[in-house]
Formats: sequence, structure tokens, C-alpha cells
Amino acid sequence: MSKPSSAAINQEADLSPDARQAIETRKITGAWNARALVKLLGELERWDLTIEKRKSKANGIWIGSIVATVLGFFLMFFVGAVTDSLWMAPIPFVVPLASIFYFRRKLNELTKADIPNELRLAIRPMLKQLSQDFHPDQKVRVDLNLTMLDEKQRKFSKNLPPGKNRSLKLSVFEAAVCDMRMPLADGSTAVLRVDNEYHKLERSYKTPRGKYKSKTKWKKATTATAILIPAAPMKWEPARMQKFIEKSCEKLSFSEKNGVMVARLDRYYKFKSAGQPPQDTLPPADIVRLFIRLTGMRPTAAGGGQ
Amino acid sequence: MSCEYQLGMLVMRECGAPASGACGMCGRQICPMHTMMGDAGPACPQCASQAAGYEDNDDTDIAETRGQYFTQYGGAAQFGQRGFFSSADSAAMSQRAFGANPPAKQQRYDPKET
Repeated sequence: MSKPSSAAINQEADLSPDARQAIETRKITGAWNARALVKLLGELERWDLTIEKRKSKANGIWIGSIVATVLGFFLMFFVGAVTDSLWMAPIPFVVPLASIFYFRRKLNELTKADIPNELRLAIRPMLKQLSQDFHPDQKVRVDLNLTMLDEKQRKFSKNLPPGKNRSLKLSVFEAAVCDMRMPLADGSTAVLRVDNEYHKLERSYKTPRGKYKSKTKWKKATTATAILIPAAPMKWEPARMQKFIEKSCEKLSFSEKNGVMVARLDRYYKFKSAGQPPQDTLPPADIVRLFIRLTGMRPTAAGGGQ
Repeated sequence: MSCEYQLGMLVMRECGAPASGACGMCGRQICPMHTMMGDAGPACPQCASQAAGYEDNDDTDIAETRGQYFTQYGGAAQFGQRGFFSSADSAAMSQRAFGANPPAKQQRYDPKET
């Protein structure tokens, strides 16, 4: 489990004990009042934005230090020739070199302290938009995973036929981001699950000039699953919403659980990036649309249709 | 009289709290919590979200977003006729709820925004 340094948490003085605990344990579980959960996620959003800002700053300085080190290397000889001093000459080279190591380490620390963007960009906005739909007396049960992608989430790795390349290695990581059960005001229950699967493709190849190089490509497959469990047994009427289901990336299914027919709508996303895992995530409006279409399939008998 | 403002996005129902007045645009009875004050007098969050001169808050945001979502699935006025949602849903989305001719709201789109 990746844990942020306590110093990083202490710097963020505004966090409540719940938010600190969530960041330390890298998860949010249990039954929550919807309003309290939105507030907690708001604090985590502030934390996430602070980390992103610091990461961006540290990354800029790190890159600047690399450039300064290269320039400092040549400047070292110039300073040595002008001052004739063995102590002064290495300073333009050594200082930015030390800065590279320092900011590289800081970047790693900040990456460990970071939390998945799904919470800030998808889950919290969705909860805010549906806040009036939650049952006032019942609590939202959540299981949110705040762990960033790490080796423990690796499902498997295998070497693929290299073809023109020197080597080709595929690693697959799985991360369940969110599982939420939201009791709605009419007695039904909305369930949201978000799962990520990462594919890391590491390619090593020989350039025409004879140099060996390697490149890493990432793919992120996100599955958002919306389930609507009615309060009482009923017959769903999917016909009216069938034309609004995007066949290319969505799948509608029904299953029986405890004598109640449950409707389920899955939506699939793919994101790509090079070098680092993709930071993109599903838009909150898509999650709300999944639930709107599920509720739109309720029949007259269940009090949902005409 | 109870507040007739329709709460919710998935499960629409009337607020039901004791009303203290009526919306100046659609005439719906509204409670103090759902009374938005602005240039055109007291209004319900639904009308306030469509009109200029009203401050945004969570209620107006949800009312505005709700209209945008439902328009994709048949248009606000057609919900009841097409049977997508309950009668409460269609009542919330009816022309009455939007007001006869609410003053146009300023476009929020900023082309320079990144």
C-alpha cells in the first residue's frame, strides 16, 4: 500500500480527522450520510488539487534542474578557467545535479500521496447532482479505494512475441475504485461500481543507429456499472429506453436477486497514454445518465412510469 | 398549502414543506427554503435556474442540470406524453415549471476558458 509521508499530511492543516484517516488508510468504507460523504470528498478534492499543484511545480523544477545540470557541466570548465579555483568550479554543475535527485524524490513522494482522480472528477460531482434523490433517513454504503496504481494490483505479466522488437512485455493491473449502495427516496437502491483495468505494454527495440531504446504505452479500461434494485418486485419496461442505449459501449442486462428483478447498465471506456498511466476518467454526467435511463424503465405499477 | 417544488433527479417528488408564497414566474407554491430572490422577484429554483438575475446555488444547479439531462431523452415538455418518467417527473419538467416567458439567462460559455 502506498502511504503519504505524515509531513505531507500535516502540511494540509485544513483536513478533518476523517479525511486524514482516509488518506492514511487509503480507503473510505462504511455507512455514510450523503451530505457528510460529499463534504469528506470535498476535503479529499482539496488534498488532490494541492498534490497535483505541488507535483506540477516539482516536475517543472526537476526538468529545469536537468537542463541546468547540462549547462552547468560546460559552465564548470569556464568557471574553473576564469577563477582558477577547484572549489568554485564544480558549483554550477553540482548544485543542479543535487536538485535533480531532490526533486525526483519529492515527485515520488507526492505520487504516493496522490489519490485517484475518479473521486474528484466523477464520484463527488455525481453525488452532488443526485443529493436530492437519496433517502433522508438511510445511509450510503461505500467502499472507495484511494490507492494509486501499484505492484500489488498487478494481475499478471507476460512476454509477448517480440516481432520486430527486442522484447515486448504486457502487464495487467486491476483496481476497483468504487462500490456504492445509495438508498433512494422511493425505497429503491442505486448501486454504482467503477473498476479500472490497466494494460502496460513495455517495448524495447533497436534503432537504425544501433541504440537500444524502450517505450511504455498504457491503456486504461474503465467499466462503470449502474444497478437499480427496486423496492418491490416489478416488471421492467426496457422498450422505451432501448433506443437510448449506446450499443457500442453500453450493455443493458437484467438479473433476479432475492425474488426482485434488478436492472443493470454497464458502460465501458478506454483511455490511452504513453509513459505514465492515463489520468483521464469517466465524466460524472455519464454516471447520472446511466441512472436516469434505468429509472426511466420503471413501469406504472412501480410508480415510475405513466 | 405545501411547497410544490419538485425535488430530485431520479426520484422526483414534491418538497411538501409549508409554503410561504408563490413563484413569480410559474405560480407554483414554494417554501422559504426553495424561494430564490432575484431581479424578477421570488422564484422557485427551476425558474431561477432559467432566468437572469438569480444567484446560483445547489438547488438551481440541480434544476438546471436536470433540464439538460432530460432534454436528451425526449425534451422536457414531452416526458409525460412519451411515458419516459412519472407524472411527477413530467410536472416538474412542464412548460409551467419553466415559466411562460422567463427572462433569458446570460450564456455561461466562455470560449477563452481553458
